[in-house]
Amino acid sequence: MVEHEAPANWQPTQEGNFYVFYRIVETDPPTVTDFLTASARGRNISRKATPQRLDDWARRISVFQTADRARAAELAMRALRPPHPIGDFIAMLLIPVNSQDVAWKATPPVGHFTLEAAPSLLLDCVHSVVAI
Amino acid sequence: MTYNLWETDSRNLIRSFQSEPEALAFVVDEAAERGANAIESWALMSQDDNGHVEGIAAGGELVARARRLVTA
Repeated sequence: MVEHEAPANWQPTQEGNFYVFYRIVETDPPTVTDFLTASARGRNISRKATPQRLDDWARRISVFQTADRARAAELAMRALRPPHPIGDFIAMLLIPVNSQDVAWKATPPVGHFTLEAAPSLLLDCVHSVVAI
Repeated sequence: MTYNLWETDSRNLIRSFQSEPEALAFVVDEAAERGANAIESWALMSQDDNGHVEGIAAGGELVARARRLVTA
């Protein structure tokens, strides 16, 4: 089973000196818990996982390129039977382009990125929050 | 079209696949290794080239769907 990689030209949206990302969160205002990795949330991963996947699981969180993509994901979760909502809000994060403390990576599917940073630092990067 | 497995408790993507059978085979493998309870929080979504997202199955229904693939 071969994992497909994101094309090298997938780039986040940039506004001025910031990259813009969107994260589905549970509350407004969000909390540190909204920015925990799967591992930090106590979710296990397969012993057969590749080193890359283990790294992602332990150190990165999912974010979207646009608020529309985040909203589409949440609405699709709610349309499942039974519904599987994952958050009621979308947080807009502004990450300084030259940040040494936050790393981003494009990973499939289109419009999906991961961020690596301390959860408290990501919380500090929240610029605004809107309801789904 | 991509098929994307999400861990819904942490709201993080597990992995993206290029076909639904490939994604379901991964679910079956994980359920066999760690038990169905371990993937109760997973959801499988499809995403087309225009960014349209649809939910396919989650939790126990996802495991059942995956197992039907194996026994078909």
